[in-house]
Amino acid sequence: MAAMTRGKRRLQDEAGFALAMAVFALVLLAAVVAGGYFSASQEFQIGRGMRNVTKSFYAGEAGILQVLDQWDADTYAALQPGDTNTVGPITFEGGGSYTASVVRVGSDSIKSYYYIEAVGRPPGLNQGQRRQAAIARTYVPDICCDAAIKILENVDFGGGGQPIITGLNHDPPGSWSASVCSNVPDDSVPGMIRSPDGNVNDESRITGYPVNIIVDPALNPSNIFDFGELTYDDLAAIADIQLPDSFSFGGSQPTVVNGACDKTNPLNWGAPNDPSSPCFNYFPIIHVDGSIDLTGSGGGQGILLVDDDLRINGPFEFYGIVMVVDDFHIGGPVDTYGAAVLGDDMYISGATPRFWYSPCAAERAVRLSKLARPRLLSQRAWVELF
Amino acid sequence: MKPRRSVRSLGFTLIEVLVAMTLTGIVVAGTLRALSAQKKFYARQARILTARHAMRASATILTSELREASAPGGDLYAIAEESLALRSNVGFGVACRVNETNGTLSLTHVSGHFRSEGSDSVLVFVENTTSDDDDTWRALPVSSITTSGPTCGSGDPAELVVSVTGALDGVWEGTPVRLFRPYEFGLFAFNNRWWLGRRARGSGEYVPVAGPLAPPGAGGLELGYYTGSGVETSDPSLVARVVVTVRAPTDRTLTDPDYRMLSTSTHLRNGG
Repeated sequence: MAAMTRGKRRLQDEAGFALAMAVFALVLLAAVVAGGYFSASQEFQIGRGMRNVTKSFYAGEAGILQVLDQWDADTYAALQPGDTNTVGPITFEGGGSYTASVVRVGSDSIKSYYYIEAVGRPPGLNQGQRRQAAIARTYVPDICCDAAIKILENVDFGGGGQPIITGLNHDPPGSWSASVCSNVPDDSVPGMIRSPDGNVNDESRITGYPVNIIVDPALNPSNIFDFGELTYDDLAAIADIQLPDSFSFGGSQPTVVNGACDKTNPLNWGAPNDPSSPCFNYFPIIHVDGSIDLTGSGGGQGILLVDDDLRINGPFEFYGIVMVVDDFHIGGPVDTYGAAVLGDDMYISGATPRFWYSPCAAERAVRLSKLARPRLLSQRAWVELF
Repeated sequence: MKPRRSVRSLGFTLIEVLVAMTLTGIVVAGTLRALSAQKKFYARQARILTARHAMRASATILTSELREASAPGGDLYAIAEESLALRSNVGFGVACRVNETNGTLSLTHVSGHFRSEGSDSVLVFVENTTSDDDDTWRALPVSSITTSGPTCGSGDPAELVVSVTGALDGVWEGTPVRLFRPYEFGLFAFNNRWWLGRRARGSGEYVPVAGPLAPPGAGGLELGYYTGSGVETSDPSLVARVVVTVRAPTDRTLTDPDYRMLSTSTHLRNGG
């Protein structure tokens, strides 16, 4: 009992400093750990910031490329100078996202310029952003034309109506004023390139530069409709207008809905003679699954693809590119501006049937069709914005 | 009467004091050692952080400059292992009106630092005709930059109007306009340290833009130039990718070198 009492008193009388030292040591150790954590966390935050900056950059860059890749020809062709189309926000797998705005800049209708600005963001909210931009303009595949008419078989001039086929440069008259064609360089080509299998019954009707006619032994059925990047079948597959066999067309009906050109109407082949119409710059790709007759006091424009025969009985005007797998008949007062590729024979007769090579009409038909794709300007299209 | 003696033991015995002092010494020595080690650790971490900052900043500046350069367009004036001279893009805009007669470009979508300085020039895209074959870029000296002048073709006010010296024929509305300055980047010594510096090409003194970096002999800045097919090249017009390697010191004195390295590869975005 006495021993227990003595031990208890000794504990109560303890006046050492071990506890104070332990606390002091713990405080110091805590300070050391806190310092290490602070140092590591500072580096971690810097690293995270750099990662977010990098993710933002690549998200924006991917956004520009995605806009170009998923280019909606109808949407962007319809933009007027100064108009903007916003894309996104689009979130990529992995969380990065972008918002892009596509602004039609410039006023030229042939070679439209687009300013594409993308804001890239990393995953998460309020993690920063980076902006970049690029300038693109429309690009078209080279499908036309090294002669007014390229043909595999015979050309038959009939009657005394002064039929003409010329490869010399001709801008369409009237509404196709100088301003419309001013940005398309003049160009003259041979009036005809034909295979040696065919025959021309009156070569005096054909003019061109530097020669009137070229006989090309390499021209054959397997390559006449192969344009490198595209073939006839490719064009037919993406046509804006699909028409059945034995179709008769009396001229374009350029309907306008809510102030915009109605591109859903298969009889709307543009408004080639009305620069004030919203359809003046509408050049559809038209595919006929068979034969077609163009008749009456009408006209049209675009890229016309005919699987069988094409017959035009004037008065009629067509502006653009004509491709006919079988025979091409022109009769009466017909003016065709542009170029043609023919897989079989050509018959041209009647009063003043004229086929004028027009780089302006051909180029407008291609550049203002859905073949036009965006392509970044050469060398310095891309810029990082601050 | 015999005096009473207290039975309580007051104070410490010599043995207790010696034990306590020994223990205290051990604890204090251990603590001081830990503190000293931590101090060194902090200092080293701080130097490493500083070195990393310097390397990141240097690499970021150089890669940012290089991304916008067009090698086939002649934007890389001179390339070397430890220096680089290029057209530095300092401003951007889109021409919403081109006035050939007055030599002015009205701009929208302006970004960057458009200031009228004697050495400033602009690169404009010259479309000429619709043919892609005659496209080119034309460098024109800037004579003035104002916020007033011809409005855009749409009638909207321009953000800036740039007056240039030189012909604007063949320049269409919508063309990009890039304000540039010819700069040279390289290592230079300042206050016994080496820095990534920038100066006007061919003249002037370097201005530090990032650092400190390791001296040239220790690989403070190393630039490797590669073509699109990955072959190292010394032809500025063929460069498609640049490997930027920077080293920065983590030592306290120049006599005790210890370097950290950062290397990054950058593709030139405007090569095509």
